[in-house]
Amino acid sequence: MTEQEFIESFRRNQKKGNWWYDFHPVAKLVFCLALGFMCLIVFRWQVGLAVFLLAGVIAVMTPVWKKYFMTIGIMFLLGCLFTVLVRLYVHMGDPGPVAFTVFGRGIPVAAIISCLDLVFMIEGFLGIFLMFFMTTEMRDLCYCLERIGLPSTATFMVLSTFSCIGSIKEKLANVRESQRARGIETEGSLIVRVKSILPVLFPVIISSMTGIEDKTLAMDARAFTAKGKRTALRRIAPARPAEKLIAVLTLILCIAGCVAGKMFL
Amino acid sequence: MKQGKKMDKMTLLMIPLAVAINTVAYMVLYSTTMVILGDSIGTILVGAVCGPVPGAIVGLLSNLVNVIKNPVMIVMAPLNIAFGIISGYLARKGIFKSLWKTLLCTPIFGFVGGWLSGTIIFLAMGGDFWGNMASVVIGIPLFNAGVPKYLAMAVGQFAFDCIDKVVCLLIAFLVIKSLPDRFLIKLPYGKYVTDKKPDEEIDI
Repeated sequence: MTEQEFIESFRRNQKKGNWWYDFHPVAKLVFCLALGFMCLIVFRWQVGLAVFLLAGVIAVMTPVWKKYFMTIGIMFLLGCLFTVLVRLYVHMGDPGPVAFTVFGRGIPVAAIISCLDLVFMIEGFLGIFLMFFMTTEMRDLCYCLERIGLPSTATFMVLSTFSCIGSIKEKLANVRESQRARGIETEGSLIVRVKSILPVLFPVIISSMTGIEDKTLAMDARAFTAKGKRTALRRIAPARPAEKLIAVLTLILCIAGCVAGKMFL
Repeated sequence: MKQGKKMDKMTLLMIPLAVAINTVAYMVLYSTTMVILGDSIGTILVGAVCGPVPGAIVGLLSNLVNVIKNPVMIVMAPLNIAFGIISGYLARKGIFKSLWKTLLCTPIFGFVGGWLSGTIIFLAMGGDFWGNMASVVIGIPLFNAGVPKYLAMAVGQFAFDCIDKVVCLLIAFLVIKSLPDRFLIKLPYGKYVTDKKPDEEIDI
């Protein structure tokens, strides 16, 4: 991209050239929230699986599909597998129809279904939210939320949170390297790593907190509290009627789905 | 008036930083110890130096950020909000001025973070154990010994959460004590965590 193209990119609405990426951030948020919470409220594997599959279909249509499936796979192994094993162990030998036996003790069908409910609730909820966060820039979401009335202080807090997480992680890596250079062991056995936590964590927290005063002055210099209309560097096109319709229809369908799911599943 | 506005801005900047501290502390502490979560250090810290409302906002934002990694965090948001409120209330009582008083508050945070979280998980997860260390090490053995499932889980969660909270409170206390008085005094609840008064001469 030439310098002129870069400058021009801020003179028009931001576009990525992919329908899901370019879906209006607030409409996308409503769509994902409705589906995610339906998984959580209904808590049945059928609903979770449907949402998980939908998130997968959306992912396939975006350039981040590889990263999405890798992340969801890792989260499944780390988060769900352990819980499933714990649940199966607790229900081993319970009365009721047996699905299979392990070490001579029966695993009831009810326990398997309970595990499926849990796994697909997590995967459905996680899948749709992961898809949202992987394809939506926080600054675009905050810009749109500010346009519909969210106070600029609130959007500032959300945006600062994400930038702070990145900068503090970077600082943590630097402090870890510095402490290692001073002879503090930060890798090795569990005891060694536990002993190294405070010398690493402490300087990061203290230095970040004392740096706040400078940031306050910088905010004053940039007239943060000045009253008046705020401008934004990046612009997002307002939501199209079709996007609004999809968001509202999803919300209505999910409310109906929650009621029906609780009654019939 | 000008002083008050400045304090507001400092609080505004403390909130995102505290959320980041929660995230990073969780990353460092939990990956190393597998018992200590550390995801409420920032909440307790801001609650103590900025007040209950900023503390509650930190708690809410922290859980919203963590939803992306663990969806269960969404149902735990009220607990992290409660940590911020309790911490602000305790700071007003002058608890964070001495170490022993701070550490004596562990059961309060442990009850909220352990017992109540156990109850929420129990209700939200279909009345069953969650796959965590508290369930495996304490909850399930107690259940096998004949203790009712809910009680076994709650006791396990409470015990593990007390270990977590004692570390969080200790770190929060040490951070407060390490911060210069001239910095603390500019924060809304700074006067409750330091013995220095705004009109006293402070060494810079």
